[in-house]
Amino acid sequence: MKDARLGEFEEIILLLVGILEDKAYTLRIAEEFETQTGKSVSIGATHSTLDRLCKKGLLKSELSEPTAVRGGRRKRIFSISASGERALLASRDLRTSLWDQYPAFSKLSLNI
Amino acid sequence: MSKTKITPPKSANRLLRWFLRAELREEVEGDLGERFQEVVREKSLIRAELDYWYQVLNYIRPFAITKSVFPLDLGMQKSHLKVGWRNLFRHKWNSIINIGGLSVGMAIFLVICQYVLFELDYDRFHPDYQRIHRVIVEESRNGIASGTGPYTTYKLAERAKEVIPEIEQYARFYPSEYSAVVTNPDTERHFNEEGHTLAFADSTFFKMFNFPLTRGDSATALNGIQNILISEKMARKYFGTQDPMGRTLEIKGGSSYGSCTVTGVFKDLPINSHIQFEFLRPIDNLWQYGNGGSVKRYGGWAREWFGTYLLLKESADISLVQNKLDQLIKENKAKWNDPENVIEKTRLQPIDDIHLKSASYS
Repeated sequence: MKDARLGEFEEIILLLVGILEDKAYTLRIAEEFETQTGKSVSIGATHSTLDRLCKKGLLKSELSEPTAVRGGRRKRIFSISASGERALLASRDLRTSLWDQYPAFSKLSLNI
Repeated sequence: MSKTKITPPKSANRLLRWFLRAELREEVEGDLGERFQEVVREKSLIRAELDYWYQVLNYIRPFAITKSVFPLDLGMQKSHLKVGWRNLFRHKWNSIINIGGLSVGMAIFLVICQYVLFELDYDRFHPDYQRIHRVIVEESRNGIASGTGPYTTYKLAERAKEVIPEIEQYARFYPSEYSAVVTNPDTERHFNEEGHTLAFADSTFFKMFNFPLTRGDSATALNGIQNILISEKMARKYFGTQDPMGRTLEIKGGSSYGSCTVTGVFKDLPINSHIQFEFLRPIDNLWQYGNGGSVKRYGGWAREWFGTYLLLKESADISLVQNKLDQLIKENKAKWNDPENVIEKTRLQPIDDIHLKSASYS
């Protein structure tokens, strides 16, 4: 398997897929990214990353039932796979461990 | 409802269908269509159409492009590349010699290109370089060639401008043969300067040649007989960080001595100029006082010392101008040339030929 470490964009996309649950299709993910981060992203860029995460086995996907809003077209719903969850946890653990090792950071959080 | 009639731009859709993988078409068109309707509702049709184009163009990514857009199958080539790569490492020394040799060869080739371009570029930085010619004089005595050189008499250019209408402008240039001591009297800084850096020229010099001034006015800087222009390098050398304009330089020795007033500073001359100098004074100064006054005393037709540059009109016929110049010399130098059976023929040398095509004289 290729290096399973996540890039920042990948990590956020994965988390968004988890948050959106059964509404996690490309357009919604891209829009959710914009509202959550305040940064704009094209649908194509989002799709490209989703595609890559699928190929790495961190996501799975299936086509939904056709909807009238989309002129009878189906959409692809993404969901996190078991190894996707592991990758997210590993990424969170690494960060937590790094935060814990530097005392000034924990003080920072106390001051808030 | 009219809403159903609003559809994404057709040409964008055609583009999308052309490059997009077939299996992605349904979901992508669905997503983009949905987005389009959202933007129409929230903003405007124009915004929606622009956004649609933006989104389509952003789908041009490797994962989404169908094979038929790039129908190349690189399977075999990939294998060849890999085998080739491995062979490079198997035959290390061979590879090093081959690749190293090729690199050195290419590097040398590029250096030679640089050099050749540099040589060919000589004197082409003057805007009118194609119309600027230098007068070459070929002399023969009793029908036998007796010398060729780029030096003419003082008066030739002046007279030629009067009687040959093809000549738009002339400029004479004289780099001194004698070194001189140049002094800044305020600081007593003084140096011995080589003769050829101490030059004299007509006031038209800066009109004809592209030697920009950083201080002073090129149209008037050479007008006063005791004026001097210096290069930026010399300005630093004699005046340091002080403003050289209006200051005095004493020149002792050389072709013409005296006190000069700095009326201009020119940018250091490009290396690819055959004309080189650091100090420039009006040629009138040389004419009046040069070599203790002997330049003027012996008349302007006897001494062949001066580089003569002619700016010809676009329509000028070079050989015709040469004939006219020959005639002028014949008329004015008869008393010296005829008894010796000397004939002088002129040749107009394009300025960008001077560096590479001047044989012994340059």
